[in-house]
Amino acid sequence: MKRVLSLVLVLVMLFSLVGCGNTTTSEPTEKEVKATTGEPVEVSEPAANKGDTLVVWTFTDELKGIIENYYEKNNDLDYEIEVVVVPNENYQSKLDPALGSGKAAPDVFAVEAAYAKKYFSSKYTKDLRTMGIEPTEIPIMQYVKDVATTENGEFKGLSWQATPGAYFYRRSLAQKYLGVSEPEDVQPLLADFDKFYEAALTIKEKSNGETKIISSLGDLTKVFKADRKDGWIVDNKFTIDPKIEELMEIGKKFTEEGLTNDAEQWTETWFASMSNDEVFGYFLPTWGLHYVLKTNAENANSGETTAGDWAMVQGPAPYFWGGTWLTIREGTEMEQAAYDLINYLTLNEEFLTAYAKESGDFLANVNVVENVKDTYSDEFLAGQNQYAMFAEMAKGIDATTMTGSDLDIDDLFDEQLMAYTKGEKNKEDALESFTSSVKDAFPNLDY
Amino acid sequence: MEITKSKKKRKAGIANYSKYGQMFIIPFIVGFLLFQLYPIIYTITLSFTDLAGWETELNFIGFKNYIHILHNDHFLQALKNTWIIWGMNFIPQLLVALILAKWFTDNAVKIKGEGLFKAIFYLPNIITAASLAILFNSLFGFPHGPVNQILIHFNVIQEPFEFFRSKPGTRIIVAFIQFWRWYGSTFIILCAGIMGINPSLFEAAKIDGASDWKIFSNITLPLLKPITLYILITSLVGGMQMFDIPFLLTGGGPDYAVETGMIYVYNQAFTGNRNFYMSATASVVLLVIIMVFSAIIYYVMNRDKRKVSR
Repeated sequence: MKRVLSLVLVLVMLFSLVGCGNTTTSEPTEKEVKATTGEPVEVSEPAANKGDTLVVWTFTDELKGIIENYYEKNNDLDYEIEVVVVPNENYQSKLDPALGSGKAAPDVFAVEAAYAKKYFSSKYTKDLRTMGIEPTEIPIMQYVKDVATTENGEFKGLSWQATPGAYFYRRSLAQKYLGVSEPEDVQPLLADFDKFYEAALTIKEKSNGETKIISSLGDLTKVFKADRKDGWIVDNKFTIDPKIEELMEIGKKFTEEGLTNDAEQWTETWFASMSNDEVFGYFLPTWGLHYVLKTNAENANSGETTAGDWAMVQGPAPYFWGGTWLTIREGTEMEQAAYDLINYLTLNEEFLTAYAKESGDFLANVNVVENVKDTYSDEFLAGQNQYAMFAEMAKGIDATTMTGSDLDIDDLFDEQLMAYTKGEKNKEDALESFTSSVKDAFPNLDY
Repeated sequence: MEITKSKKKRKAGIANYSKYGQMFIIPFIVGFLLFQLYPIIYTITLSFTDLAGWETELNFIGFKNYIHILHNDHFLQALKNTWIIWGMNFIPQLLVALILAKWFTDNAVKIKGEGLFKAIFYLPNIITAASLAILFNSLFGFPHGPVNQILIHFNVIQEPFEFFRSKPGTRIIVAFIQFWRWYGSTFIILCAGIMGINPSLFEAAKIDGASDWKIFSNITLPLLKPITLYILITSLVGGMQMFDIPFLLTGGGPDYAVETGMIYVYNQAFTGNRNFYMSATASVVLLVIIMVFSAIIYYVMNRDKRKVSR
C-alpha cells in the first residue's frame, strides 16, 4: 500500500513538474468574421472615446519618445496615454493572446516589417478607410502604403517613417584599395552583385586580408531578399525564389574565399569593426545610420573615431530594412483618440517637419520629405546629403515580397544558409532541410 | 477523574490542530488546481484538437496529432538530442559526485576545508541559466573568444574553431554546463546519503579486513540505492525538460543539434504558425516518456532491493 501511495506521489510530482513547462495561451472567444472583399467601405467619423486611457504597445522606445516629446506636449489631451514597450522577441507572443481575448489589449499598436502583414491580414486591425483615411489621397510613400494594404483592398496601417537601405563605406579605405573615394565613383564599382564580388576580391587582395568588404553574410541577405520576384509565400504556397539559390552560391563564394570578417550581425565584433579598419562597409537602412553606425564609430578604448570618413551609396540593389507601422485594434474603445494619434504622427506636416529636423529620421510623408530633403548635410558622411539620397532610394523599393511570416522563415533560412556556406551540407540537403523546417513550423501552407 | 479530563482536552486540541493543518494546505491546493492541474488538463485537451494561430475554437480531431508527431523527424530528432545531452551530462555527473562524496565522507582521508569545498561545488547551481549561457557563449566565441585564443596560443589548433557550428562541439558544451551546474547538488545529496548509513557497518567490515573498494561496492553502493533512485528520477525529469541552457546558448542550433524536446514545444507554440496543438501533443508525449521511464527505473531498482533483502 505504501509503495502504491509513494508511486502516486511521484507521479503527482512529475505531473506538477511537467505542468510548469507548459504555458498555453488563454483561449480567445471571438468568432471568425468573414473578411470583406474590395468593395468601397462605408466611411464614418471615428467613434467618440469611451475610456480615459489610450493604450499604445510598441517594441522600441522610439515611439514612446515621439509620443512623450511631441504628441503629448503639443496637444491638449483629455485622456492619458499609456505606452507599453515590449521587447521585440516577446512582442508577438504577448500581443497575440491580448488581441485574441480583447482583454488588456492595446488601442493602438506598432508592428515591425518582419511581421506587420500577419496583423494587417488578421481581423484584429481596423480598416483605416472606414475612418476616412483613403490611401490614394494621402501623401505617403507607395511602398509604405502597399505593406498596409491587404489582398482584399483594406488599408490597415500607417507609418511615419520609411526605411530605405544603403551601403555605407569608408572613404579612406576606398581611396586606398579602390582608388576612388567619392560616392559617384564608388557606386559604379558596386552596382550589381558581380561587381560587388569583384570589389570584395580587390579589397581583400590589396589590403592583404586586413579589410573585408562586409562583416558577415547576414549583411548581404537583406539586399538579396529584396531583389526577389516572389516572397516566401505566394498564394499560401511556400516558394523559394531563384534569387535565394543565387544568394546561397554567392554566400558560399564569399565564405570560402574569406571575403567576410566572420562576425555576425549584432555581435561585439560586428560593432567593433565600425571603428577600425577590418570592415570596408555596412549595409544599413536609415535608422542604421543614426542608431548603429554613428553610435559605434568611436572606439571606446582608444577614442579613435571613423566619423566623417563614411559615405553612402545604394550598392547592388535597392532594399529596405525594418520600419514601424501603427495600427488600430478593431473594437477599441478609444477610436477617436487612436485616430488622432495616427493622424498626427503620420500626416501632421508641422510635427513631421520639426521631428525630421531634430532627429534626422527619414519620413514616409512625401510632402515633408520634399520640403526638408535639401537642407541636410551630414558631417558624419563628410557633408553628404543622406536625406536627398534616401528620397531617391525609397522610390526603388518594392515591398511585394514581404509576408507576415518573414521573421520566422528568414530565421529558418539563415540557419541553412550558414550550414551550406560553411561547407557542412551540400545545396540540395540545405534546401531540403530548409523546406522541412518550414513545413514543421507552418503546416498550414501548401508545398 | 482528572486523568480522563486531561485526556479529553488533549483530544479536542488535536482535532483543532488538524483543522489548522487543512487551512494551511489550502493555498497549495488552490494554486495546484489553478496553475498546474488546469493547465495540464487543458494541454491534454489541446493535443486532441487542431488549434493554431488566430483560431479560437477547439476542433477535436482524435489521435491524428499523435500519429503525426511520431512520424515527425524534427520531433524525433529533438527527443534524440535530449537523450544524448542528458546521457552525456548525467553519467559523468553521477560518477564525479560519487567519487567526491566518497572522499568527503571518508574518515581516513579527512579533507581540510570541507565546508568551503562543498560551497564551491554547489556554487554553479546558484548562477542563473541566462548568465551561464552568456558566459559560455562568449568564452567559446568565434573567432576571438578566449578559448580559441588560448588554444591557438598553445598551438593546440592553428585556425580558430567555431564551436557553435559543430554539432558534437555544441552538444558537449551544453552537456558540460548541465554537468557543471548539477554535480554539486548531486554530490551534497550523496554525501547526506552516505552519512546516513550506520557507521558500525563500516567499522565491522574494517575489522573483518575488507578492503576500501569492497566496503564501497558492497556496503556504500547498495545502501545508497534509495538516494540514487531519487537522483536518477529527478535528473531524468529535469533532463527531459532541458530548455534554458541550449535555448539561450544557440537557440537549438547548429542545425538543430541541441534542439531539445522542450525547445521544440516552445518553437511550435511561439514561432511559425503557432501550432498550439503540436506543442501540446509534444508536451504530452514528453510527459508520457518521463512517466514510463521513471516507472521502469523505480520498478527495476526496487526489484533489486527485494532480492538483496531476501
